[in-house]
Amino acid sequence: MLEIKNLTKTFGNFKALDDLNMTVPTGAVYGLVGPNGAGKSTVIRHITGVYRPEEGSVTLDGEKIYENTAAKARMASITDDLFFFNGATVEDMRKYYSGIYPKFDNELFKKVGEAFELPAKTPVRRFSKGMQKQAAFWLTISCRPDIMILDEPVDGLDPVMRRQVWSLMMSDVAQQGTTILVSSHNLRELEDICDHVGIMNRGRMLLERSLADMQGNTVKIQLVGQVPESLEVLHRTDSGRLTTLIVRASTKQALDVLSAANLVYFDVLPLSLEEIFIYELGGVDYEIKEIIL
Amino acid sequence: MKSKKLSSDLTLFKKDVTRFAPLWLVWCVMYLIIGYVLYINGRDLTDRYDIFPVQFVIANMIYGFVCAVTLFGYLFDPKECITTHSLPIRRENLFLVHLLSGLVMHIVPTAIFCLSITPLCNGNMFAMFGFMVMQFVFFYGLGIFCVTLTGRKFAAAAMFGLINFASPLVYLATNILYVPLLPGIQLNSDPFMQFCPPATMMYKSFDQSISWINGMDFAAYAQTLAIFTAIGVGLMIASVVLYRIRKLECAESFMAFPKLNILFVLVCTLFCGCFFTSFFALFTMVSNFWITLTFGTVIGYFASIMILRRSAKVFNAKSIVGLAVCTVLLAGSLLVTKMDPLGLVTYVPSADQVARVELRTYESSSNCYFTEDPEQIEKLEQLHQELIVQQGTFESSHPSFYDDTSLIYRMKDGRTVKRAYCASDSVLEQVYWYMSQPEYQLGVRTIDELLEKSDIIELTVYHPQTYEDEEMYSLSKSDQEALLKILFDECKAGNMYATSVYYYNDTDIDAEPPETVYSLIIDLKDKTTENVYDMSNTYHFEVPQAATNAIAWLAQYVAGQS
Repeated sequence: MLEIKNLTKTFGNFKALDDLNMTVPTGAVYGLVGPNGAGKSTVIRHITGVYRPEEGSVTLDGEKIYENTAAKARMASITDDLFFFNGATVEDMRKYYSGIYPKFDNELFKKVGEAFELPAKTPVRRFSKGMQKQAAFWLTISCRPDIMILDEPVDGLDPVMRRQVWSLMMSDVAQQGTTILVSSHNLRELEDICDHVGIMNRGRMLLERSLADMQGNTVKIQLVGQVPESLEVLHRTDSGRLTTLIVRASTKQALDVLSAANLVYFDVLPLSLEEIFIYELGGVDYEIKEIIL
Repeated sequence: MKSKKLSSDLTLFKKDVTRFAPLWLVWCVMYLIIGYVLYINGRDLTDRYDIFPVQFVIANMIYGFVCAVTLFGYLFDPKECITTHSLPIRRENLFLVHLLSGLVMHIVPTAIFCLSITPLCNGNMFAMFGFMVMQFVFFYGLGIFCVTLTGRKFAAAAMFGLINFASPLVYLATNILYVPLLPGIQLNSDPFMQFCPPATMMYKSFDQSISWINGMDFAAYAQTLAIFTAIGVGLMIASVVLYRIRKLECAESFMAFPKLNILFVLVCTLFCGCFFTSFFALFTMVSNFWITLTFGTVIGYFASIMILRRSAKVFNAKSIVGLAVCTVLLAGSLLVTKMDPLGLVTYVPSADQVARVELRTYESSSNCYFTEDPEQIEKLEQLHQELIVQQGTFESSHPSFYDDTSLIYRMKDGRTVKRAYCASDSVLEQVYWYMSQPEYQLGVRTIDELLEKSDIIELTVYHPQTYEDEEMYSLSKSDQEALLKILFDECKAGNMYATSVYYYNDTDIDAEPPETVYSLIIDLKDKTTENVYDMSNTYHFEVPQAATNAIAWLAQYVAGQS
């Protein structure tokens, strides 16, 4: 289990992380979401052992990660800013990583390589952005980590490749029990693969729970009539007589309240992760501004 | 796990050596080229008087820095820094592996060079190898230290240059800013130059004074380099500590530790002020010390802030306050210096602490009047007191160009106290009187040192009346010793004159001494290459008729050579 407790990090006068708490269960696919500047990359750098925690702790199965080679050997990461040695091909990088990571799997490397079909003799730095991401993923998954930390892993990939990458990851999770932490803005994709989500804003964790719980605790209701006062409304839009509400309640709770309200019409609809993200942050001074052109 | 750790260290090491192979291969070729050029110029690589080829010191200095930046430069690139530190390798291991890679990248080319070219150049191969490695260890350690302190290559290079040349720069800054405020004070450059690593490695050892005459033997030079090597190792250890505590997000910042920014600003401000002050004094008609200093200080301050912030938008209230603080500090230090709390301006050494006093005039740069007689020392100290009282104003901030009278006290405790003055006419008359008195000891300052350096003398004999019969003789060692001894005895007997003083009993400074029989110009030259080390190593003697023994010896010698 990956655990972050009371983590604080400042850059000069700017507090990037403010008493952050986060738990990634073993074997989970954890989606870390947040607006730009929320501190997601900073969290990831603490998890990968790049930054030293100023306050708080970052542990893996109870052991501190920073300067712990055993813990770091169990992790592999894809950052948003990729680095490859000048002039190095994928094969050169394979040799490098296979010497560093104790569980590097050359057979898996070969197998994944057949799926990606990247040029063998071209330096990786000359690849396109998408191809570089593929190469990064190829190397990362071949390291056979217990935990994969992925910062915008499919950014720049075409839809076919995205599907392939996610498929490989899910297959790895299923077979190896790999824990995956994904940071992304593409909530629709995360919804398909994540089973845990953490929503960050301004260096703090706003919401962290399993996707099932999250979707179970927030519902979208459409009704005609007077809105019951007992509902905790996060958002309301009126379109003629039809009122659409986002409320914090389970489906059952909402249905119970609505049934007792004697409404002309009501319906409970499933909420997407994107909608949860928007409406959760909407209550925490991150307003969605209507742009009128 | 231990074997896994070794495997990752080995992987890293192999990556370093192969990835940067072009660098150390190029350097290997460069060493060979330097060695070959020296060979075709007929130079011994470890000649006693050459100390050690200057070219290799410079090459090792550059290569040491280049290796440090190449191997540790990932600290400057955020992407590479993050990727590297996310690997399962401890920082100490990362550091040590890169450190070792750098050493190997020097040792291999050096070994190749020493094996291939040193025997051709009549050098001591093992000494050569040892000297080069020791030099490299110092510069490499310093380079790594600078890299760990900074966040950019330019900053690392600036710091590397600053530390290497700190003592000459401090000397220059002191000479430009503070010495003009203390009339008469002359700063001795010797102690400063001894702490300039490249200069010391090229020419000196710690326990020898700066002298072009004195050579250096292997043991002394090896001792010097051993000290530098120890310093280099110390810097490497300090670098490990800095590396551990360094915040990686400082990549691309000028300084890795923000508190050092203040130091950078102060140094920039100070040296910019010095530069502008001396530039305007030397090359323009504007020589007002305070105006040029203020101008330079302001420019230096804002330039340093712009470099640190990487922005031209630095003209705000906070910067103004910072400038005010720097100005107050600088002005305060100048004011304190002007007040002369240590009494340096009026300081005259106590006669009983003085071993010897030398009196020089501007015209006689190599010859001087000197005395070790306590009574004469006291008289000279009285002259010194008069010079202090009557010193004239200086026309520029470089008094050494305009002083006409200087006094050098060689103290019994080994110190040297130098003073220089622009004397009034009445005092100058006294000075010339000293220079003209044949009954006092006159001679070259280092005549007694010349007696130790009898291997390298070339003698030019002129007949002063006709300048005919110009002959040049290379004396044998025994002849050199004999001549120097005779000259020294003649000096002690008061029979020799300083050649630059041409008048004795009248005021005609252009008149040549009529009784001079021989004029001797003694140049210090290397017998094998005939290169002149330094033009200041040319000593002039007027041999008057009174110096009968010297004349007799010379006459006999010249006749024997014909």
